[in-house]
Amino acid sequence: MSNEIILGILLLSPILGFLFNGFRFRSQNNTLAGTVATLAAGVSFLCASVLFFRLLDLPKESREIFVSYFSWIEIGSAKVSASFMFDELSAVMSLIVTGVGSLIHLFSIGYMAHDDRPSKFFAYLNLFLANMLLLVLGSNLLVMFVGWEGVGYCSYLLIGFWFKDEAKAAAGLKAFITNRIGDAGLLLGMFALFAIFGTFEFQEINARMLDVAGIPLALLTAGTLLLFVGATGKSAQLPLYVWLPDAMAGPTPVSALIHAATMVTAGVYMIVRLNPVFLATPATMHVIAIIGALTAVMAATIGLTQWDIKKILAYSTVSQLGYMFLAVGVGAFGAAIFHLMTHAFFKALMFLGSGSVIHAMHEEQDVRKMGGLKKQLPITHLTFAMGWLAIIGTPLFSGFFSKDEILWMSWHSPRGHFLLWLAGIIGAGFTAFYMTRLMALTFWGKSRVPKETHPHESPAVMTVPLIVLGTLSVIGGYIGVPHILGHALHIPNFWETWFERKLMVVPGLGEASAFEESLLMLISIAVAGAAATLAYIFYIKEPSKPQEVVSKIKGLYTLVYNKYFVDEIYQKFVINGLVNLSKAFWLYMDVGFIDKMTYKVSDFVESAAGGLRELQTGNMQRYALYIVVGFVALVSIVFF
Amino acid sequence: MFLSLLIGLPILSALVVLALPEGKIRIFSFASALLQFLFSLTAFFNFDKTTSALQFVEHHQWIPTFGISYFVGLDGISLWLVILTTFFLPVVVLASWNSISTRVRLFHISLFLLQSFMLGTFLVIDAILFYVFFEASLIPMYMLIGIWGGPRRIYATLKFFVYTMTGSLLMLVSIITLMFMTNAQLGAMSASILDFYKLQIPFVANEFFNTQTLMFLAFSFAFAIKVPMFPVHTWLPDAHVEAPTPGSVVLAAIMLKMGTYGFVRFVIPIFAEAAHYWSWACMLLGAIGIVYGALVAMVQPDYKKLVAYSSVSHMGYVMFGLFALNSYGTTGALYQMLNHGISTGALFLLVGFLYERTHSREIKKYGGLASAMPIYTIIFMIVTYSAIAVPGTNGFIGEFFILMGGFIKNKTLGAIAIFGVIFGACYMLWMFKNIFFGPAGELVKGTEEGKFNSVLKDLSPREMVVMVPLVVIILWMGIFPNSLLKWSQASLEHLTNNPFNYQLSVAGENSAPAVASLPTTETLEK
Repeated sequence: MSNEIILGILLLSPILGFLFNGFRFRSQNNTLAGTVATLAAGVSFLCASVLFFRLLDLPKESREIFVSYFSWIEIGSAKVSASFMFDELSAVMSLIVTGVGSLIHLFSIGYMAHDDRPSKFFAYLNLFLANMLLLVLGSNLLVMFVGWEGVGYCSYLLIGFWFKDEAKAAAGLKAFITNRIGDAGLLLGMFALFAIFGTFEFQEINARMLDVAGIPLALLTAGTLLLFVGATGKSAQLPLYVWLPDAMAGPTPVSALIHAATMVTAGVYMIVRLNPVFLATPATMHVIAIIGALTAVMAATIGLTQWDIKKILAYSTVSQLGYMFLAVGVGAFGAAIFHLMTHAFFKALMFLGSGSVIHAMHEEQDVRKMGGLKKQLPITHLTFAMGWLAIIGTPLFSGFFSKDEILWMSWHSPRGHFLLWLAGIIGAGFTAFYMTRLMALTFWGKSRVPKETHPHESPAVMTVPLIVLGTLSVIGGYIGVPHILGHALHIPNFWETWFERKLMVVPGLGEASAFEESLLMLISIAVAGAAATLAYIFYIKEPSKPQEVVSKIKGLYTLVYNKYFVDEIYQKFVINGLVNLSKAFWLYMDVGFIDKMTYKVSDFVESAAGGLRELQTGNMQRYALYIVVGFVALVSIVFF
Repeated sequence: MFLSLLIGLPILSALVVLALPEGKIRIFSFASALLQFLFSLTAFFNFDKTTSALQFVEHHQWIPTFGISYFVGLDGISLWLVILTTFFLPVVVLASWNSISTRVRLFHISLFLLQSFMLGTFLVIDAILFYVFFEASLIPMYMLIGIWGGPRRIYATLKFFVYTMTGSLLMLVSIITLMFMTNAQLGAMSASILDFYKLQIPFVANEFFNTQTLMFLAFSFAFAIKVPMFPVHTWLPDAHVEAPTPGSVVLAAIMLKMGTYGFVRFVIPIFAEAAHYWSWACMLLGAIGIVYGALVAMVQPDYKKLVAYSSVSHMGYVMFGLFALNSYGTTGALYQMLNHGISTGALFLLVGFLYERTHSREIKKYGGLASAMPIYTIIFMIVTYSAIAVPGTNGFIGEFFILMGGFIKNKTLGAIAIFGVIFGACYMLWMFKNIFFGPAGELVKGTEEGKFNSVLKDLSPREMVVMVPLVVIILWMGIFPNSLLKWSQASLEHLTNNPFNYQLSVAGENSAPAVASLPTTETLEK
């Protein structure tokens, strides 16, 4: 089959799945809906794999499958096609999206078994997948934006899937609006790029960047900054991260797919896609690195204090996304995508694992009511543990390779800085702590499960995806083994070779010193190890300790536990402010001023008319008087 | 004859309605409206999309002394507006099948007359005739609101009428001035817009009181009220809230376009220098309209008023795009006119359907409607997406290119207008959440636990027939915009490529006949 057809199936398969389930949205046949949706996702994965192998067969210089289906919009010199590009980057992205996506679809069959609207759920899930594929496969900014907004409204629909609950519907609304703020920035960024390059095509823009002469750098910097604003919305970075923790209101598979593995990484993808443009604007890069590092640390601190298993994972996601942006900001684009991939594996795994736990606990999400679950949920526990080991950076697990690459680059890159590295290390310590805390509270120690709950292991349809993702979390890092280890283990760094052509290298990147790199690696292992041990002591050995520490730092704890009161600040100053302003506009401007003015005008006309009416009373003597006055006036004008 | 038939058939239908027995009026009106729509579609068979010239032209002298003539023509700018107009008539007739129960005959006569006058406005090339149609269309609309409207209908109609009349009078004065100028410059008085394009109208850049600027302001004022543009928009929410559903639909979907069409047809090409000089001010008002309309919509307790204010915001986009004066802004604006017609028309239909069931427009009395009326909810959702310009719907194409055109023209104003993207999502989705999501509200709850209010039946087949075409159009226009844009491209490019020497010819002729047959200035002097 030709590439056009395979790519077409890749994109259309989830759309067909959406239509199938969408048109029979009343059906309660969970198995049928789930099977069709999973098959649709599976077919996409198959197509992505076929295209991937075809890409491998191509010579390295021209690894690119470009397909244009039809001319979408033609206005003036803006000619936009519905065209797609399967290259090194989109291959990796679409494999992650469809691969992890298929597993999560499968898991959902078990998870949604008792829901009364499964068809609707799977329809949305498929629609999301289709939009995500548009996002990563689109060959121009506009097609990408279609997917970008598309995943946004699917996320909105799925967060508010149980819409009868006011809070869940509100969480969906919050996600949409916050994302829209980012999208407004993204739109302006796209306009700026179009103003400079006269095209929306990624390839043409990137090619133009080979020589920066004649490019207005001020506008370009503004443009990239605005694009990054879009990224902070979609990828939940400071200051727009607030929607992601609330997004946990959606069904857990949704959190795994959309709010951990795929959609939230879109911002990272977009920047990496335009890496030559971003590289040319160092100011933007610094901002990205700083925001990324700050988000990584701040979200991790909140993660230390939360009790809701999904909220902990949500803040962990925000934090890990911060690492990806840190990587992007220091010019380590490969490391960013690498971490994006390993994170997709282990975080999807842990979210699904938490779904399995919540399922077993009859919708309980508070870790204080768990504990000792490893006996009842052996598979969930084992696979979750793999994710835990991966995220805290245990040597030789996937997260270790990717996170270490980021930390190394934030030190080593000319765009890096000691403080960025330090933030990364501190964040890593926090990560190890809160994840170990989560493990300890959920699976280890004594059971705090209420008597009436009888946890049970989930069915195979749910555990199989866990096992697959668990395996990937362990081995997924070996395609990007750092050179210092690679030499010892005789594993080449496939990752670097694969992206060589696509990702530019930061100008002035020096030769790596093996000593420095190993030293930093040891430091990060030591910090993570120490933090994990500490958490283990706190939550298993001496369960009274956390309380003691908390009481010593009461003020700080309250601040962090309440998420730095960011939501409250936004509510008070931004939302209430806008609502009050709008009410004032309506009542004082529209009703109070403009309407009053028009009444004044009409009153004036009426009274003026009334004045003129006085002249025509029908009174003969009056008319005679007018005649005399008029005559005198005329005579005076003529004669004097 | 084609365009005359388009204008004349509705009047003919109105005459037939006058004679028909009461029971047959609806079915005849629907059939006639549908046929007129299909008839208007035949334009596509003969329309030459490669030319910017006026097509299907009919030109007959009417009052030769003043150069006033019956002059109609169609080009890429008016084409889609005409189709939009003819499309909505059958929709409106069908939608008001049950909701209008008194004076059915007069109602349909008003609709047909309105149809004729609106088509006339889009089709005539003679300024005096344009003025006549522009004004005449007020009368049937006045009746629609004044007879079948809500409790405050008299206040609303008066406000609507006085506002629009005031603006138009200034326009009439300017039209007459322009006619005198044709006499002076072209040698004979003419009311043809094509001759107005030829005029050299004195313009001084930094002054307010010069001929072109004043006339530019007079015309702009008239059309700005119609659009309506901030700050002369306050008649609209009142008119919409009091109007019956069909009145609201026609008002939003088509009548407001008469204002923006006026800007494209008159203001921008005739007063080119002034339009360029003052473009920033018009863009600023457009941008304020976008943001202001959205903010005020956000705090409306009445869903119909919310949709009305959303119109102010959406029409702000059109103005913003038009005065960017580049191809992106102009094309986006034309597209947005159609989008606004389709999606706001659809919104007014939807809120009308709900109002017919519950007789309440208070948002806070709803909640949880999604469970009671699932199909209604899905359609409302798609229309909402269109209104907030989600890609894949028509709204995106218009809004994106308007904002891009605006940004390229003026970065600061572009950055202001972009807030509409955020606030637009706020008011629409806030309303959506409060009506459809959450626990069942006061009006949605049934008498028994777990049941819904018995009046809340999902869409009837008739209502589906009304809504499904709109949904299909929303998606089609979002996915295949080229299929529409290609028909207007030549005209729009001609407009944006010739900012200061815009001329319009008649297809098949070298120049407009009104001038060709006239004596030149020199011969007059002899």
